[in-house]
Amino acid sequence: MSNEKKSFWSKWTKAHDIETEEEILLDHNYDGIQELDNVLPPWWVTGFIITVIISIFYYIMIFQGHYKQEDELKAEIAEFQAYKKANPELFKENYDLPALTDAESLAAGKAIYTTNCAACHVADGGGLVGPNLTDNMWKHGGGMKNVFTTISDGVPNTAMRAWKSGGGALTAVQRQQVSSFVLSLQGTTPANPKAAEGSVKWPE
Amino acid sequence: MEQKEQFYYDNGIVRLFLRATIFWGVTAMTIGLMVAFLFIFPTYMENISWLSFGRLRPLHTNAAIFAFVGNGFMLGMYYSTQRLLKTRMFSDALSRINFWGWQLVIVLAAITLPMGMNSSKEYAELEWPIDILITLVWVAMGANLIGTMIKRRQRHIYVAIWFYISTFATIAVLHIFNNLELPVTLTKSYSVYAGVQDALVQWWYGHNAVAFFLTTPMLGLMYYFVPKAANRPVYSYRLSIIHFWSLIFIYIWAGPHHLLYTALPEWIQNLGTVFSVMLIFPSWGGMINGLLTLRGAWDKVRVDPVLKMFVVAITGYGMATFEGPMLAFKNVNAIAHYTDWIIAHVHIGTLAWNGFIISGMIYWLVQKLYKTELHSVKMANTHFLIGTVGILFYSIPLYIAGFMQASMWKEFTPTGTLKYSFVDTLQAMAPMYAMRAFGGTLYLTGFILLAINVYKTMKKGSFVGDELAEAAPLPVVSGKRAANEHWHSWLERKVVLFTILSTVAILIGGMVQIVPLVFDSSQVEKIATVKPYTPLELEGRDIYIREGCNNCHSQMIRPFRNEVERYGEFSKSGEFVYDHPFLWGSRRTGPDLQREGAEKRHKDNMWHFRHLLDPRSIETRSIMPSYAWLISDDLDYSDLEAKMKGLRKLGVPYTDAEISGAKTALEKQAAGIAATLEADSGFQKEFVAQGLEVKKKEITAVIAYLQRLGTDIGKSK
Ligand code: HEC
Ligand code: HEC
Repeated sequence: MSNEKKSFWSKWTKAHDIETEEEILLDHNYDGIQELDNVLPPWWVTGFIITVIISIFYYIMIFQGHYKQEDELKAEIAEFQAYKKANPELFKENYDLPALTDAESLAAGKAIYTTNCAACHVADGGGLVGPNLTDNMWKHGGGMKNVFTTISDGVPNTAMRAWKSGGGALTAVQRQQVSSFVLSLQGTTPANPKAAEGSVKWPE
Repeated sequence: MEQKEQFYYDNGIVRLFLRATIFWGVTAMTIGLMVAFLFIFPTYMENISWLSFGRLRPLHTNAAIFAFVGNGFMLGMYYSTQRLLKTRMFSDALSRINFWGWQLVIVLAAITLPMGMNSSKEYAELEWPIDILITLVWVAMGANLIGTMIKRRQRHIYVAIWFYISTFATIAVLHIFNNLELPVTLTKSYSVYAGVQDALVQWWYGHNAVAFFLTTPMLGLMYYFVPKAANRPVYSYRLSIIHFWSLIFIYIWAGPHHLLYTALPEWIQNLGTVFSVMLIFPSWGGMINGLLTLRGAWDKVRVDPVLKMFVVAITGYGMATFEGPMLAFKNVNAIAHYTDWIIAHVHIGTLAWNGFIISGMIYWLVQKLYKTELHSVKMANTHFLIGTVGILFYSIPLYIAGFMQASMWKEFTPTGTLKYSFVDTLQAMAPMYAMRAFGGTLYLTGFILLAINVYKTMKKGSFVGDELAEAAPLPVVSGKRAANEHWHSWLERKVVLFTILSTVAILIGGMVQIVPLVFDSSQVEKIATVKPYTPLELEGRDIYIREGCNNCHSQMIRPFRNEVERYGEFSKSGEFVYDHPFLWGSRRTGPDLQREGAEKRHKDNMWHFRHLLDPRSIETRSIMPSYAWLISDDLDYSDLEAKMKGLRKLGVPYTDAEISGAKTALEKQAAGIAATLEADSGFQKEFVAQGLEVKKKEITAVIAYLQRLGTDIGKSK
């Protein structure tokens, strides 16, 4: 070990020189294990004291400030409300979007459908947990506006969730695309169609 | 000069533990690897109930902690204690009871956990008869240790022994108080604590099992085997004293850092945080004393696989004990909790610190026991190398995964909706899980090399079961402190007092936190609409426990906007007052289920039926096991009344009428769920026509429980 390095170490640890360590060798002997009586490394002592002080300080501060973890949630929500107020255009919900028929939008709609909806309605719309989407019987009404509303708001107390909010929510445009795709399934013949459900027979 | 006495060290017991450590090490890691592969190929053991994730995970953790590290500790403890105290163990019979009893516990665990018999409490899953057996075996070990100290030929007890004593005393206290449970049958019990209280007791235990089963015993081993293998004196005796007492006193307070942002009263949570911060330096005291003992031996470290392993082990210890306190800060915890970050963190502790200190110790010990050189130093070096690379491959991807998960869970779109669904996060994690499994494979391969190497070394060496030794007997001296005797030096020869004092040191923190929470009723809010589970829901909950769903699903929504948005209203302490045991979980491999029956998470019965039968039929990217046996197996509710009576003893207000009418009520509720399923024409075709009588099946109970979850507080509005 170079001299320079040694002095670095000894400054940090105040360790006794190895060459003369007999001077601090205790008369302990445990199965041949001996013990030196090196002092506590100063940085260790300082660190310990600092953490203890910080801890006491932190604990007192937290109760002095009447901090409550619930307040963090309130702050987050308040922040979001302010953001909403500042950006009203982002939050305008329009339930009167028209059905799209161009190939590109329908392809986008199909992609959304396959990842999000096929589990319950089956890839070809034949239905499983959710109803068959290819027939003209609807539980919540056919046509763009109704389908868009069902998809956006979901059906309470069923597996059909609201897609406008929650984890993996769809934007208004995405909902418009997938609604358009759903409507494009009308009249197709799925492999294993589920029997028609609902009472609203929608005009073609 | 006094006449020396001759006596024999018992190496036979050491050899027994050596074999057991290696055998269980391979087993525990193999099970771990099986579990790791489930994250990549969720269906590779499909429909074998006893190999499903929820049952294997506790088997892995218990095997790693109690079978591998437990035997490893006893291995080193039996070897070093005899030599440090210059005597044979107090009683050969107790040594054997300790060994065979411990193996019996492990075998019983290996049988009962896959069968689904568990109490759900992490690292304390074993059911009550086994808990009693553990207590007896542990006390046998402690009696043997204390007996040996009393008949010692060495005036003072060495620091390694201090750590062994505090390990014994603290684990005894933790194990007994966390496992206070009311037996219902031979294989089923309910924790005496409910909800928040159960959570606090559990994590007081869980955290300190890490402290006093995975840390203090390893420090004890370090203090014997590092100076021995390096042939260097221990760096600082003073440091040993200070860091020993500060470590054991402070450690015990830190448990609540496992429950930050939960419904646990905040004054307890914050104690967990500050005591974790104060723990950094006491922990590092051990690391420094270990590493600086190697001062002057670094040339040896470069070539000796034993010392190399010790260095990585101690460094891993230092890293994990710095990271732990960082994770105890609320803002860091908000990110890391429930994610794979925590899995990475514990594996630095287990693979590097525990695994390598035990491996290094084994390489050193086998040469002493068999009076020969290691079969192959090269092979041991290879073990060291691929083990280290394995640790990196295990942990780095999981650190990344943890960050990814947390940020994906929390990310909102500009329109204030959550950007990712839960399953999106799983998909993103897949490559990380593959690398983790690769790292685990490397680590296990390294350990198998150890097994081969040790076997070959044993073959070529000669083993002496009773090793002759001699030492002078200990003359009797006054128990009083001599005039110039240092107080600690005096304490080191008063072994019973030492044991008592170290026990007192660890009792304080636990008592300050637990006693008020359990006995002061104002600590838990009261919610009038929260009612006990119906009989069917109760049976469903017990199946949830049996299947270990809580190993993947939390039931504790933290007060963050993203969690409230995803899972619903955040959890309140008063919602859990009838939960014996609590089921908050610690890791979100799947979504939180606390409000599965309410608000945004609610789904109809058919969804749950199809999802439990085959999660991938609903969600193609799911890694949840399929639970087909819940649909084929009849619900056994013969113990229902006993269960309800037991719970009533614990404070759940079931009336006599509810208990006597329980079976009828259960059948009625099950029939109701069955009717909603059978109303579906597809269900008729697919299941009813095949003769399925769904109302009799276990699945109705699970559905009933899931539909109940989180619904009670909504009723007050
Ligand atoms: C978890 C299963 C599930 C998923 C995923 C799902 N649905 Fe549904 N869906 C249902 C159920 C169940 C219903 C019937 C609700 C009821 O009982 O009224 C339904 C109803 C509907 C309806 C109304 C049908 C009618 O007859 O009025 C539409 C349209 C629909 N879903 C579209 C979608 C779209 C588009 C997606 C993907 C963005 C989707 N669903 C995803 C289960 C699901
Ligand atoms: C290997 C971990 C794992 C285990 C064990 C597990 N699950 Fe899951 N669970 C998941 C994952 C991942 C998801 C999310 C994907 C999905 O919906 O399948 C999930 C989703 C769920 C959901 C839907 C949650 C929601 O609101 O979207 C329910 C309900 C559920 N699990 C119940 C259970 C029950 C009951 C058990 C025990 C019988 C169980 N799980 C065991 C991983 C697991």
